[in-house]
Amino acid sequence: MDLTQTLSALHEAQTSLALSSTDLCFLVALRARADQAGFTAFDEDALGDVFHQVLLLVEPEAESPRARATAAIRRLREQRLLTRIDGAGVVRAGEYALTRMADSLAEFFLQEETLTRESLALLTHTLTAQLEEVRAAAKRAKTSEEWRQKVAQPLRITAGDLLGGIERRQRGLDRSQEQVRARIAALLRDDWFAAIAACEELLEDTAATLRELNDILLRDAASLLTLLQDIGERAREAGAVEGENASQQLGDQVDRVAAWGASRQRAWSDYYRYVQRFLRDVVRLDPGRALSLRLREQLRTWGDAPERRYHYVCAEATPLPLPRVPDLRSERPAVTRQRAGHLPDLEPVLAEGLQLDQKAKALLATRPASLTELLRAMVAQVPVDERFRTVGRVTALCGEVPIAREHERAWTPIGGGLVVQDWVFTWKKGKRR
Amino acid sequence: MSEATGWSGGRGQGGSSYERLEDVILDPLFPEVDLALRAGRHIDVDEGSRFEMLSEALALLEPFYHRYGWEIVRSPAGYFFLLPLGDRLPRRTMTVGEMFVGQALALLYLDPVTLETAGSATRSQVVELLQHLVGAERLYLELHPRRKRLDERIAAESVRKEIDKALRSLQHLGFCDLVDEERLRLRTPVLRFAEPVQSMEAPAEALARLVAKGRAALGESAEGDGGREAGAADDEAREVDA
Repeated sequence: MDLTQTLSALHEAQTSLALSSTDLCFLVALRARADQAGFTAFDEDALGDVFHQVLLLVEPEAESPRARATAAIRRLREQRLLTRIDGAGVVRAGEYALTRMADSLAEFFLQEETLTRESLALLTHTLTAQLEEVRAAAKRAKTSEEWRQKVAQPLRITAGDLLGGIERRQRGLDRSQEQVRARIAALLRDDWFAAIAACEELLEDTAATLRELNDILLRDAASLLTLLQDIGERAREAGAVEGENASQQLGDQVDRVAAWGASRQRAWSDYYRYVQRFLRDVVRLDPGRALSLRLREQLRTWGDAPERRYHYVCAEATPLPLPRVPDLRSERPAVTRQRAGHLPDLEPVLAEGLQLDQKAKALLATRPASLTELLRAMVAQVPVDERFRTVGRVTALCGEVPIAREHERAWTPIGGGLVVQDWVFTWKKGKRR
Repeated sequence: MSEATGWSGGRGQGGSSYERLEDVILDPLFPEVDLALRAGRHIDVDEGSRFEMLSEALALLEPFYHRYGWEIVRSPAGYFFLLPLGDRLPRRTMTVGEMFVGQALALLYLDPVTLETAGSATRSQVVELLQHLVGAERLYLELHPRRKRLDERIAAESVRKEIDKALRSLQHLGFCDLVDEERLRLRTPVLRFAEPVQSMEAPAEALARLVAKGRAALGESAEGDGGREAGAADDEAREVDA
């Protein structure tokens, strides 16, 4: 089973469950009726009867029970909790059975199977016997079909179900422990000092049960794992992948079951200690439960008068001074104006630039007809690698020269592989710049 | 001074593994226990080896800390803490927030409902309990001494923040463990907040006794400074109207 695919499919189909309390009661009542009467299926009349009885019990004043029964059956069918098994369509009244999902839901509410020493011993004993049979079959198996039928399938179905039964009962015991905790709290709340003996008894009983279960699990898990390991090795030698995988999966399940015992015993041990300490330090020392009342009053009035405003004193370690090197990188220089007389020396390139400017201005004084004409004269005077920069510099000098307004200016070569978009200069007649 | 009844203490006397003070100091656990105590931490049985070490070495550590002007206190409820008596080393008084929250934690610790979860409580329970017993307005004004009236728009959020701050501080002092953003685990030292009402004597007398022993100080806590004191500065505050 690919979990990712399963989850994606569930989400994509927007699968959900929506059961009202009455629907749930209907489901549980169906399961109870099936158990009592040995029914494997219900016809529509039987479904209607059960729903009617449920309705009388939980909603005695409800109207139109038949219509509501029909709607409830439809809801359960839509949510795959009830399935039609006769296949006759609308030709005649159908027969319905509870699905596996409905069975599990009803079972949860009907019978809380918990793990007891007897049930665990019986289950592990049966499982051991089952695995021994499978091991014998593994010794005899010759063909892949024999491996599949005599080893892999019994491991997956029979042994797997037995282990599943143990796990289900473990979860039941978990819930039972929660109830014990709630019961201890309720006993103390109601009877306080008088409840000590009952609380201790509950604690001891659960601790003893868990200890016994853990002992059985530790003992039997080892023998179960040995059997599974033997089966797995034989399957590997025979190249029976299915059998090897099944024994591996079952081994993991046994590990999980055994780990449950240790984990619950540890958790209960912590709880046991906490409650014993509470009984000893709080309940026994304060049989009248006056401390809570006095503390409640103290908290209510704390600080409302100077004599009731007090503070507890406690030690405080002096933080040690920690010398460190200041991080100079974080100190950015302040923005300041440069002082006159501290300007850097002019570089030679600037002097060359000034010479270039003078030449360009001299040429401009001759009133060239266009930018192209000016640039051609200038680039001819400078080395090839300087031409591009010269074009930019000279063009900048033409900022004040009158230029003709043109819709589209032509791209014109100026030599040396350079092309510029031309400007036509419109000098005024008789006036020299 | 040990308050535990029937505790024999001392190395070699009560089955302790420490013969001399040097043995205690050379114990690899000593530096962390010492630092924790000096930081104001209350160490209870849940701290395992730290608690065991203090239990076994108490008789040797008492005179050691006494020379610094500190008293190592073992509470009958089963926890240790260091109490500064002189002015040689820094000490602090708990803030108003810590006092309120500490008492609320003690009340929750005594409630059988908390027993169901083996000492687990939630921050919401603390807030609700305080608002119920102290009153929302008074709680807000106590936690915000500079404000003169309740600002309902921000009251709930700012009270919650102050309570969170107090809880963090109480965690460092060993009164509780913050499990996640909502849940917290109560520890036995919260019973220190019930000390004035633990015996059958009048609470005022019990409080006067605590103040006289230097375990509590009357008056305002120096909130802005986290309640830190120079040491002798609160001597005046310790005097009680008998």
